[in-house]
Amino acid sequence: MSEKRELWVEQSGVIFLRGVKCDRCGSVLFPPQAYGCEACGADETHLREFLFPSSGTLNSFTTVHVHPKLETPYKVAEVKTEARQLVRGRLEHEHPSVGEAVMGAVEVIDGTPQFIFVVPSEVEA
Amino acid sequence: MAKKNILKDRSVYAIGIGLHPYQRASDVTYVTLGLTAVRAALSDAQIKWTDVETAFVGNARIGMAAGSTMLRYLGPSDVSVAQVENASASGSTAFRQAVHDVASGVAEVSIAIGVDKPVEGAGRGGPINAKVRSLDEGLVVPFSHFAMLAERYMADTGATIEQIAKVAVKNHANGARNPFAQRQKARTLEEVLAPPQISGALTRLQCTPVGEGAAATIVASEDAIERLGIDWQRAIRVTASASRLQEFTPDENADAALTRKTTLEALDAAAVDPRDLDVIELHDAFSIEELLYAEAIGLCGEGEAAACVERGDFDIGGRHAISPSGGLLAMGHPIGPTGVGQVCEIVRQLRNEAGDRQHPDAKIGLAHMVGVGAVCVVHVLERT
Repeated sequence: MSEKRELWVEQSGVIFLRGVKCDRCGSVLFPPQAYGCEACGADETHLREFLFPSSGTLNSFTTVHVHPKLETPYKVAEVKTEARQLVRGRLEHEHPSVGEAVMGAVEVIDGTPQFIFVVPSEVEA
Repeated sequence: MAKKNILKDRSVYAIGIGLHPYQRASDVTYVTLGLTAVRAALSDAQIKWTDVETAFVGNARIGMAAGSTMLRYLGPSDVSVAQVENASASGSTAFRQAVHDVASGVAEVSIAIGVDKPVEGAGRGGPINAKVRSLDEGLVVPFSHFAMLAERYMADTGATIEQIAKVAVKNHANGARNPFAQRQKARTLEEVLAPPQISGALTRLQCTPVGEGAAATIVASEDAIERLGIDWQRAIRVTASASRLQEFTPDENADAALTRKTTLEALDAAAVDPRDLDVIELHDAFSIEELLYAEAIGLCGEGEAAACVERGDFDIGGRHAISPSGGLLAMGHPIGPTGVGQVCEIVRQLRNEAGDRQHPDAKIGLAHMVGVGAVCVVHVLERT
């Protein structure tokens, strides 16, 4: 996996996440790595790149008020995707609640495209 | 596969405890911190440094060869020394190594030492050097991880922000009675809830202070206790040691699952029912953790811990005293010392020597730590 590749990819306006899937046990792993399958122990030759939709439900979230480097406050989310993966990323949502549907989006921040989770209606708007 | 409990076959006893107070980072060197704890433990056990055969020094921040550098100042001896790093569970793991040295017969007397402080130029650590990129790089610091667990816990159980904060009120009150605690001030609920907000429901007083300090515990075999003339009344038996690496559990709370499995392994090995535990020192780096782990250990049912705290069930003198030392929230979390300091507190409680923070008639104690990785280390100690 090249250092430069993004962890997400856009296809027909939908943001997919770039994980790996174990061809021995079928587990989807994110973030991607080439070390081995945490679920069954298969070595890295069993891990194949696997794109899965970034949409899912909010497993949890929090507002971060203190950070040594980043501007605060900001929100982070832990999202349960349809691939049964827990994925964490920045959340842009005024009043989130556990169990709510969210999806990935890409926003250009300081000239750099960044992955964020948003509520589906905000993307359509 | 059932693991062998070597502690059933050969008894191991904690015979000496010593601490350097936990405190904010200062100019005191780690050598002074560590030697203070070691000399206090030797004095408590009434033995000499030359009686100690093996030493395990737990730390995560002071770098290579800190243990050996420090212990040379105790003078010539035949001691074997190893430094132990296991993130926040470094001290707990050092204790486990010392206990297993005595249980296996490699040594009759061993010492576990935890010593740590922030120093310049500390390494970046394994998780960063593994170079696995993620979407949340730098965004999720430990308190945000636990703030997310708090949010989820409130959604699942209906517990309130005030109920979570009451864990900190209780543990600060305990710390106020512990001369080794970094925070020795009782706090009201209003004070605990007051800003600064750190993340989500967590305020500053619901997050552990990470400073510096040291703790030491000496363990010995029955033969050594007889030979060295140690007071049996003050010897506390270590009846189980368990340590696990977190597994891939996408469908449940990974932190709670790791604690549940490790604790179950330790309690099974010691043949102890969680309801019979008198004192528990657990990894309450953030207030929400006490609720999650109390349930995972089996001290109460799922979703009941917040009500238990509110009723005083986890107070000193309650059903189970949780973190009578003040826990990580009030005693503090200097990293390397923390797990050893928990054992010191349990030994003190089971000896009935804890003064005005004594839990009445304490017979069985459990020490629980987790560390980045994640790892979990649990010990059971009993007055015999």
